[in-house]
Amino acid sequence: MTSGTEVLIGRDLSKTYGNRFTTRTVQALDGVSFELREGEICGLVGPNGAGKSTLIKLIMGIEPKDRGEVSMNGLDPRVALGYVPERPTFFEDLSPFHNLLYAARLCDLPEPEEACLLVLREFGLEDWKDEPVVNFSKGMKQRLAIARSVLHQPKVLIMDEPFSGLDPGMMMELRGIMKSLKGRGMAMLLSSHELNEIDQLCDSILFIKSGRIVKKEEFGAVVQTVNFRIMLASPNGAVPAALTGRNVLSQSPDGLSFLIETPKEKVPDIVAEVVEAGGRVVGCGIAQRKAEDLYAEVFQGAKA
Amino acid sequence: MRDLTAHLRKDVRLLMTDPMFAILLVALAGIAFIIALVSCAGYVSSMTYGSDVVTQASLELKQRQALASYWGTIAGVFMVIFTVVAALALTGEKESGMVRYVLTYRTSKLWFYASKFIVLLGVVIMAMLIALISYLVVFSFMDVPMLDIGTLAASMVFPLLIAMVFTAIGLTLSTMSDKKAGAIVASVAIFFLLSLLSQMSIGLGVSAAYDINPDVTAQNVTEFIPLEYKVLIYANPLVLGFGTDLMLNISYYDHFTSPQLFDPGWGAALGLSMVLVWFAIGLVSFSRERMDKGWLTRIRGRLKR
Repeated sequence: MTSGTEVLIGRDLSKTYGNRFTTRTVQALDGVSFELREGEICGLVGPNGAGKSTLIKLIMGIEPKDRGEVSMNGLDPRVALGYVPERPTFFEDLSPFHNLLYAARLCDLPEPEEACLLVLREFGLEDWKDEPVVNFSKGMKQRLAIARSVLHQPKVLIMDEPFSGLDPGMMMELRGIMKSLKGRGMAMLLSSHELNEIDQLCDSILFIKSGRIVKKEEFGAVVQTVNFRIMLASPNGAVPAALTGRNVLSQSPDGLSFLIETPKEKVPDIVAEVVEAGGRVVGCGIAQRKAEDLYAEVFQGAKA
Repeated sequence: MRDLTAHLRKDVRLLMTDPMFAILLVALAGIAFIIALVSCAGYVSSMTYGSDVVTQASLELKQRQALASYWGTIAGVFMVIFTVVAALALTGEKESGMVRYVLTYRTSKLWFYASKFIVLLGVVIMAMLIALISYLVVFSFMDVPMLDIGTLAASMVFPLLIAMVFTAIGLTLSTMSDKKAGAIVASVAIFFLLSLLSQMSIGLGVSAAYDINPDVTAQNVTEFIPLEYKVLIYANPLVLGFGTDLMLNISYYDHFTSPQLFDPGWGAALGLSMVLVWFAIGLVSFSRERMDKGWLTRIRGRLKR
């Protein structure tokens, strides 16, 4: 769990598409509130049409809000906010250097040329710095998009589906880049359907459904709740009785294996209870709950 | 202003790296050269077959007429070309999502838009210079006294204003469309609509003035044109086309074919006003591109303050 000062705060954000003159309106966001702390990577997860992109557009000021406020604790969004859109766009006839230079000048960086060269080197694009962006692969464009978004060293980076359409190698590379940015204390709001990447990167997850935040999970806290599996050498009728009161998620038909959701610190107690009941334990293991389990819980009402 | 410089440097670089820019300049030079040849042929023909005694004054008058005819044709061509070119100036970036992305930097929309307009005006001025050079090259082949530089410069004022107004109109159209094809269709449509309206409103306005006062002349016709026709006539940028004859002092003073709708100073002021008005309309339309709050919320917030 990340504990730091809040660097991005959204309060009661609401957005309806359509207007009073049209009969069809869509409530894309309905009173969404959230906070992002310094150095925190927060996953924004939800099904298609849940309001993830709309929330990002409201934060970036791309769409007007119907209601609510976005604040950065007194920071100037122009210099404190970086943005990687879902489909990064560039001036395709210009080189990456000149694309970056334009962004650097808009951010009023003191030595824009040097800053651009530095970031191109850091993101492995130095050799292509004079090549028109139109010749770049999708992966290179994604790298350039992130380079552009962090050029001015923002406090918060907003990323909309950054893993979309990338090959596994590029995903690993991108994950490395994001971890290094986190190491610099940059907070990130990461909208993604890639739950595996969310697992590996995020400190917290905002679950959004039908324009509302339905759950915020601090990943630190999630890790404390585990799925614990215990296996017996032979069936024992007393063991299920001993586990009454525990959250047994499943039991194998032969009575040899039990999957229990439990706080991590209670695992030794469970083992002791099973042994006391006469169970001969041959194996046990902890499976941490993952973003996928949480997703299933939140959106499909299922337990892992 | 710092933002304006950043946008300008980027827009100039975009222009220089766009292969269409070189093609446009070559095409403009070709068109101007052909129109200059046609004007020159008309001038030679009028000198060859005219029955009047040739004097220095008549030579100069014929040259001024040829020059006015040249700029009249050039202005007509530039109207269409620059409406289309300007209509594409923002559309491509809007289509790709680049405009919205750039505006997430909270850069001023005024400077972003102004930069596009300034660069387009630069292209218009380049095109006018190309046209002037084409005229000079073609006419200098003839062994006749050339018009002085003041007359040449004066003859360019209204064609330049017309091209500037249509550039502003084109840029406004580009704020309204996300598709290049849509922008091109809209710009061609608006050109034809304005042409039609111009001919109709001037014809009907002068007829109405004649109905009111049968003794109307080319000089006082505007006093008798009803207000509704005046609005239609003076709001249409094609009215500026009457300015070149005035600048070259070759008006025929026929109240039907060549009514004196303004004096040169007033006409130039009208042209500049049109440029500003269309720029403002375009800017308002462009303002929809990125807003933290809706229009009503913003107005309410300002009123509260």
